[in-house]
Amino acid sequence: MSAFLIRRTIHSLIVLFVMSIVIYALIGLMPGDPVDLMISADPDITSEDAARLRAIYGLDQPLWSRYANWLGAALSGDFGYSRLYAQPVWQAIIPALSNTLVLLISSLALALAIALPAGIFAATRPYSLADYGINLAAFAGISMPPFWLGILLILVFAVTLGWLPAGGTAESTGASGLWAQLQFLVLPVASLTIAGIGGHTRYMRASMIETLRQDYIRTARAKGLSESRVVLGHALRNAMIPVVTVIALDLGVLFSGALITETVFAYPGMGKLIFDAIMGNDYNLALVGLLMATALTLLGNLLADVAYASLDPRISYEELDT
Amino acid sequence: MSNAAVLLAETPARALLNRFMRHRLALFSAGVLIVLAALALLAPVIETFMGIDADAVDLFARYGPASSAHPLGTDELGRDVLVRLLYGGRISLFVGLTATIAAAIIGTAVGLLAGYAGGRIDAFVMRVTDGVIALPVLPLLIVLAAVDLGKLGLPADLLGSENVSLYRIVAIVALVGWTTVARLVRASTLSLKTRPFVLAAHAQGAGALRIMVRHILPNLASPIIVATTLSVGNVILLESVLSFLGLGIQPPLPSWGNLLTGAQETIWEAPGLAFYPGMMIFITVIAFNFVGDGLQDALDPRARDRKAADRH
Repeated sequence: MSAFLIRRTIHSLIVLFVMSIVIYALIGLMPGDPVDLMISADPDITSEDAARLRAIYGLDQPLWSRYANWLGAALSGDFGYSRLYAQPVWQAIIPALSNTLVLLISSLALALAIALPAGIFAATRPYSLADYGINLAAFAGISMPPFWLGILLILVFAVTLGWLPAGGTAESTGASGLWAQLQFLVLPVASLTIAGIGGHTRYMRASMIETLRQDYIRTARAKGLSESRVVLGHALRNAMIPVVTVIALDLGVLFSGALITETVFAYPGMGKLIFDAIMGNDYNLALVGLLMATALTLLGNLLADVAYASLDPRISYEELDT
Repeated sequence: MSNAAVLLAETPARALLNRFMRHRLALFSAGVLIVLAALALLAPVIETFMGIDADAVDLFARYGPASSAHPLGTDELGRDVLVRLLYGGRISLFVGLTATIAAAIIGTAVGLLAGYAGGRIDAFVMRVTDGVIALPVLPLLIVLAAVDLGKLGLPADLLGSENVSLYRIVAIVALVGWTTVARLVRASTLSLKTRPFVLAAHAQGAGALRIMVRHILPNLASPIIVATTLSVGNVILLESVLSFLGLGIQPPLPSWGNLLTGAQETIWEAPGLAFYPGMMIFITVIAFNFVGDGLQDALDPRARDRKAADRH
């Protein structure tokens, strides 16, 4: 178990390292550089000044040596300064990260609370009217452009009904502030939840149908157990194995969804931060934000492997390692 | 007569069609897609027929309501919404189909190579594939879309072209979209390469390339077709998201995604502008998903109940 965990962690760290090089190189390919931005802000800078500034910031050096400098500083905890937020990158990222975690955890919990029962319900009545209905709804969910879903929610609940704010966050704090903050969370969470329900319902249904076909289910029925005991007591635990794995593997998809939702609702999370950083040529922030997102998805994959092996006693960690 | 009908029903092609027909939703969706494609292709004809110029700006007719001249009203520059939707459909469908096919070609080549070569090449290629699958796709695509192509040393006449955002998005989507097909093809190639007919071809002295292309590839047609059809919808969604964020298709070239970019700011004045393009994306994507689902039933009956477990 621990040998497996260590090997998988090392593998993830290697991927993260390779991705840091790739992302660093890509960000170097974005239009302009920090000195260009200074020039556009200050017309008095001459081309000699610009060359001198580039030398000071090391921008005249080749890509690999700039990367090595960045990596050295990053490993000692210095991730640089954010241009957009005018503060160290870490200080900009921490509140955004906690906002995103609130959004991700609440919408994932809600989506699962709806999708898992719906999937089980459909699987116990395959090819019935209810099954077709649930399937149709799930298809609609996965085919819906996530940003359009957000826009539709704004259209209905903010524009037409005027019940909820169209986006942003509450300024006030305290008890009344908490209520105000919750109001701003409703539409983004709803949007991300609806976007996730379809996929989870389909996984749950498929896995449950497959499980209900097993011999031990026939045995359980032959013993005279009630249908609910068979489904919830015997089948559910086995049917959950692939579903849990898929949920952990989908962390990257969930993060992409959060980026869209946060951008549509102007919700100050990691996704919007990364988007704004890229659009605003905030190179340091974009780099660290993207690496955080990559680390988060790699962690999800690691969790998926651990969950898979610990939920299913038939699979040993040694087998997974090969 | 009845004997002939029975014989007809028993040919594999006929049985395939029957299974497809049974999936009425898939058939209906295929019809919807054909109509959408025809409307998009005929956009210039419809434009002329309606006596409208899609690019004609009329600032006196901004946010016009639906009328006989403009069935869906006009946008923030007074342009006809319906005709722009049809032109947007041309771009969105074109990107969806070409990017998916490009991704399928890359995936097939990678999967064939890894599966047939086996050993270290296979292990390495699959590690890379797993790595690509594990990445947070959208944030990385945004960086790719923001890259300054001039810094890559691409020729200036290509960069000056109006269609550069079109080629760029096809390339970007193909670059990350090949993994599903690659895994499928690799898995099937692994099992096919030990079959007697492949061994026989090998014994006759056929080279590796010939075996891969002439003997293994034709047997992979159904899984590739199913996976490709199912991914068209996702590709269209991805294009629309990137265009919506301002990083995909660049105006004045319309796409369903970028028609929604400004719609959020004008949602109070013109809610219709925020509704129609999204509806078009939704209808197209769900239709492709239903057709893919139906094809899966038709081409692989055993997958009938397992199909929903496939990752999208």
